[in-house]
Amino acid sequence: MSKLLIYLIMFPSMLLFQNDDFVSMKDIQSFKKGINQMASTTNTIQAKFNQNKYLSILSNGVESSGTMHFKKPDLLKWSYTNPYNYAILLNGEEIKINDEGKVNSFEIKNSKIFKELNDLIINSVRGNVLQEERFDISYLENNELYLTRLNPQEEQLKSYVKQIDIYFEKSDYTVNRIQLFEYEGDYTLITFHNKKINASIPDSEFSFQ
Amino acid sequence: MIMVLNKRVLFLTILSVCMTVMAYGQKTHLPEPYINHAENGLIYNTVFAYKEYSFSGLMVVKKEGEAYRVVLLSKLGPSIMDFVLENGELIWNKVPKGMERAVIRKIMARDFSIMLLTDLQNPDKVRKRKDGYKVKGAGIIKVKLANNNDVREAETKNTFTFFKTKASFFYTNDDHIPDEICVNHRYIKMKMEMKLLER
Repeated sequence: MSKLLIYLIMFPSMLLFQNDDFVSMKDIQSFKKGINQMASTTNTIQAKFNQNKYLSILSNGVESSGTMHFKKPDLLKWSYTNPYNYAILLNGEEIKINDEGKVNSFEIKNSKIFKELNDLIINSVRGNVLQEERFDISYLENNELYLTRLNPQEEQLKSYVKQIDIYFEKSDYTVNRIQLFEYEGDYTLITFHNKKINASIPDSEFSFQ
Repeated sequence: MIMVLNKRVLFLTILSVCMTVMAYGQKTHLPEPYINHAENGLIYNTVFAYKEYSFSGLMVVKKEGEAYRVVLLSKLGPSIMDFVLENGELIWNKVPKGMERAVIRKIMARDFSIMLLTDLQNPDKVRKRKDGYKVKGAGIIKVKLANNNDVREAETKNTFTFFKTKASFFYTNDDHIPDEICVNHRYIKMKMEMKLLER
């Protein structure tokens, strides 16, 4: 009886914690319009990010941080600077990886999973991700953020990622954080800060030379 | 007659005590898997290289009971592979496409057993030799130690095995956790270089 009582008291608060006070989005069309508007007026984005990988076998998460640069139409660079130097550059056709100064490159089309990831990242930043048919999307919101919950439908992406949560600021529709869930309960949380929209970024930023 | 028997009993008793003391002395100084000193697990920045190709990720290793858990994470976050090593057997939790083959599983089981020094866990398998220790697991491994009893090298010693594996361990302090590990294969240009992330 006492266990049942504890469960009844705890269950709603567990749900609340899990959803972080998010409820179904009231006006999805208005949200989509805002995202499209933001995407159409955004030519460049640069931001710092913190990445926290939660792994069930570790008591502490694996933390890393770095910078992200995006330039229309499809130039994207992720640079990890702490605790290691690692950068990944995507230009729509090619992926270049700079690992502690050693550069490797290969064509995106030769790797289906990298193509999926490339499309996902680029479309998230562009705001096109909501038009993706490869995901079953649900829309949520709280006082400060919009949340789109993407469930992959394609088998290959599904085998790596169970669910992707993308949080958008209500104030300017930019991405606040991305959370990638895996099947074992593990997840990766990438939080963006110091965002600069439409600041000038030279093309040389998207090169390892 | 009784005197002779007593001398024999006394001799056997002394011999038995000496052997027990020697065996105890040997076992108390046996090297052990470094992971025993890291109950919360270890994370290594790892580069895999095969010929001119290379790939890097974060390798998480942790002892779970008698088994050893290994998870390889992409630096972008998601895990790429996940397995458990137990009694020399590799059991996949998550296997990348193309790596399901039994021969790959066998090679990986041996490489990771050497890298993690799993066979040192069982003192009955460890025998002192002139320049180190010989460990009998699924195969035979020869282990060389540094002055403080940390393992500095482990290598397969099976005579008829073409595919030989050698792991080198490097330490920068006295915490018995290797700060760098390098796993090489004698006749194949395939290696794994691991650098410990700050604990």
